Amino acid sequence: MWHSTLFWIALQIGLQLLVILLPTRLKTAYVLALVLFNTIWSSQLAFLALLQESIAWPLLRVPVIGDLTLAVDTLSGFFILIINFTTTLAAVYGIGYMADQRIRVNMNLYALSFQSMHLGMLLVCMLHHFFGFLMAWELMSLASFFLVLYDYEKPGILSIAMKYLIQMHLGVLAILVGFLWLYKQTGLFEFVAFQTYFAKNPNLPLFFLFFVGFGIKAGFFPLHTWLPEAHPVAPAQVSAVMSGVMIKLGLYGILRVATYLQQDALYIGIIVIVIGMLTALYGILNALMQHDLKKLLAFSSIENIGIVGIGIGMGLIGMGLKDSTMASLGFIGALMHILNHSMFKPLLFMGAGSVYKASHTRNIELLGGLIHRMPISATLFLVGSIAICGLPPLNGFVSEFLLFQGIFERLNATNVSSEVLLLITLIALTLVGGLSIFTFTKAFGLTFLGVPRSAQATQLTPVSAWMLAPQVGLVIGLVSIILLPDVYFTFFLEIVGNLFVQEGYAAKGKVFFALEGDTYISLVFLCIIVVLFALRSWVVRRFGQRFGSTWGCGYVAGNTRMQYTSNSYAHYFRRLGKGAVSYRETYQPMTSLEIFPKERSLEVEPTDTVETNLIQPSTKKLSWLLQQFAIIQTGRTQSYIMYAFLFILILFLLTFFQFI
Amino acid sequence: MQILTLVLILLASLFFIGVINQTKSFVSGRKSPNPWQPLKDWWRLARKSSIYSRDTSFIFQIAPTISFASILCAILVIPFDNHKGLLSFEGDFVFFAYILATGKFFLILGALDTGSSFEGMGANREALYSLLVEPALFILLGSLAMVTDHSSFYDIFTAMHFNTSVSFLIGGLSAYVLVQVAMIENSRLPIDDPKTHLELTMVHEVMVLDHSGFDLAMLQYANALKFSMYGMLIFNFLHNIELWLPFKILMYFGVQYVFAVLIGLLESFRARAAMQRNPEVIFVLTAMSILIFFGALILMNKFSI
Repeated sequence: MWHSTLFWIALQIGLQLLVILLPTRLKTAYVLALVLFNTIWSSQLAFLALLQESIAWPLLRVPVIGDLTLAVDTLSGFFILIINFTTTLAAVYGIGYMADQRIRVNMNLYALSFQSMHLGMLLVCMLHHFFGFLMAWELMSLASFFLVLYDYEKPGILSIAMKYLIQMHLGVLAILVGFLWLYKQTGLFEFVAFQTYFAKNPNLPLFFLFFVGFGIKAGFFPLHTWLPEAHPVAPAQVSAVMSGVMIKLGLYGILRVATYLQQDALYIGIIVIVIGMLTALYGILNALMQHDLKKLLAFSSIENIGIVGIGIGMGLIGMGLKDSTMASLGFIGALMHILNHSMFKPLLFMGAGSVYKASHTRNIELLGGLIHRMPISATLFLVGSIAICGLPPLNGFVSEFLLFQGIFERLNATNVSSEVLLLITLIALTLVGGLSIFTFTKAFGLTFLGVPRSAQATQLTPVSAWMLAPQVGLVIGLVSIILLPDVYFTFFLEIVGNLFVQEGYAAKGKVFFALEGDTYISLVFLCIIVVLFALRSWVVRRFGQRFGSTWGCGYVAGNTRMQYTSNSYAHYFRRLGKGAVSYRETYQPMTSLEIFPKERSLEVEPTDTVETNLIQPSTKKLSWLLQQFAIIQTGRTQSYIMYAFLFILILFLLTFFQFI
Repeated sequence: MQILTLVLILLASLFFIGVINQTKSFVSGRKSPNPWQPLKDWWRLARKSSIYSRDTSFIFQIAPTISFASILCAILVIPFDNHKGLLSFEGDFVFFAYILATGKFFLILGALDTGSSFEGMGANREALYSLLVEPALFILLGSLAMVTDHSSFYDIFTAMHFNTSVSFLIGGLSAYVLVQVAMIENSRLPIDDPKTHLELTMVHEVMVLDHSGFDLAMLQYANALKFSMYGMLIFNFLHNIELWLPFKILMYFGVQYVFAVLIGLLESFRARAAMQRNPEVIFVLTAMSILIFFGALILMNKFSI
């Protein structure tokens, strides 16, 4: 047994390192091959776990800390499957995206990091041992750190990557403290320790510690500040994986801890739901302000994490109230949204990557009219936009629909305070829905529609089929959810039934019926569109059509700069979203003494309010405090000898008077 | 008989705009146009040739169709008193709101497709107002769902019974909110004025400025259709006596007629809000629906003043 494990580890390391020997051109293909290899065995385990009961497989016996066991249950199985689906497609995309990269060292770094990120994510889901889990978590974080650092020669990348690294380790610190505390209280290194601990001690403080630790990874407000900076700078397929699945592992951690909760679920649920709402609103408001396409998508990931947070919070409240309907609908809504987001967000990030590859810019203010030159990419991005706004007939609607169901099911039966909380949740969800429509009409409309705003948007390099094929794969995934929502629902019901709500769920039939109605009416909608469009086309052909220019009515001095810009599209929210959004404006107003006004420019750069008002001042204060200790660092050898002498003296005195 | 709702809404949509125009003419002392004039306009528009901008793509061409289809699809879930809509399921009013949003999504994209600054402006404003009005609608429907413990239009309307003084308050407020929501969703006063002729002050009209021919006819008819759709909701809401079907249908047309007259009157005696104040006007609606929510709590004896 141990021999086979050691052989397995050696094989994995050997396969990982083999990529270095390959010629640069073949490296991305090798990455795909290795990702596929890891996908196959892990998916097999996941399916096994989903079909039967959970499986455990002793891996390694380590002195002191005990057995490392590979364990896959239904929750892990679900996460393993979405990791594999998204990462495999991202690896395919990488072949196209990285095709023009020729520097051998960079490509080695990319290939190694991408492979080990995949492996790390898989192991995070499989290891239930504190140290094994932390090692896998580190492997994932470090690998993604190197991927964020990929364009290291560009200015600013290094500081962004360092920020990512530091914040990830703050998260690890919280998790580590939690684990050590658990060990001290229970003497166990396995996840079972949660169960023993939560049975005897208050649940809220420890859960909150883990919520902070995992919340940094997931990007909950106000711990999200690394996310909108790290995602845009990585290559597109890496952003897709990071946003699509890696931040979800933070949610995996939270869900995993939540499965062991014994009490306080109501209060924890209220905290989580409030944080979820704040995250969702903050994320989407800031997404709206951005003019960097990938940054916009990164903020929208924060929003989606918030929506999942609302779902988890609802589930926990349901658990606290001993209400199986609300608990099931909350958790199922959350899991469904995780699944949905793991499909449409990579789709959008890949679309943004294609735009970047073709035009060499991510700035919406410089783009426009791309739909005429890259129609397939544009259509795929449109599909992703509709899905992420939660609009029927696509899959995003299914998960939001389940959350709304959870709210309406419960509105009647709870007490006034939870009713008010649910009402606020309702308002938040509808506002988030409306704002995401605002955001994605901007993202799609200004990037792909209209007229090119700069020369960069007209000189496009064509996008390879390697980059389009995985997007089509993701669209197929999206469509399967809307066509077979009840299959997915049953699947999630089983996971939730196994882990959270043992009593079973009474109102199942009603939701089934609703989901079926939803699918049915979506198909009816498509049919109406087809019939109506056929009719319209016939009429238009019968009565003739002409083509002219937009400003055809006598106005000849049209300028592409006259179009609505990203900034003007968002300008209402500079006032309405005051407090949540902030921006830096560079403009020199005209003085009365200026007789011949010079040419002026106005520049508006959105900033992250939490970053500028919370993180930066506090880190500044902290570094000021730490600098005060610089006094003792004199640089003279004499002083250091004196410190050593003083230290010995103090030790002597303390032991002499028996203080220690 | 499930097709009944669709047929009734389609019928009411034919005279709705005509009645509004008649009322407005009557109040302002003008001779009114023929009440069937809008029908003639749509017919004429539908048979005109279309003109498209060369800068536009297929989005511009499908946008009006999808918008119109979304309204038809939304109508499918609305019941007529105790006759179910063609499709009815738990949570169908969430679908109702979201499918209308899909239509709006495409209209906004269609506007951005032209690359015209005017259309961008209209799209931007329309997106803002429909975003702000959404919470009011959801709280209203959520409160009704709470009172009746159901979450589909059909079940809500069949389970709703009013007989206390608080319930009349809720009834009145809800009808008021629905009328206002209908007016905002249809881009009427005080948020928008379809009669204005300056692009800078237009909202919905400037968003669809470049559509022509059949597409424009569809968009204009969609307005009437949306009005009668909300009229059907208001009818369902007010109606609570058991009647013989023909009488009920007669009463339905009466409600639609009164609704149209009411809108005409409201538009005649009301000035348009300044563009900057529109969000405030809409927030008032949200506040009113929160009142309805608390009224509903009182009604259920969960909350007392």
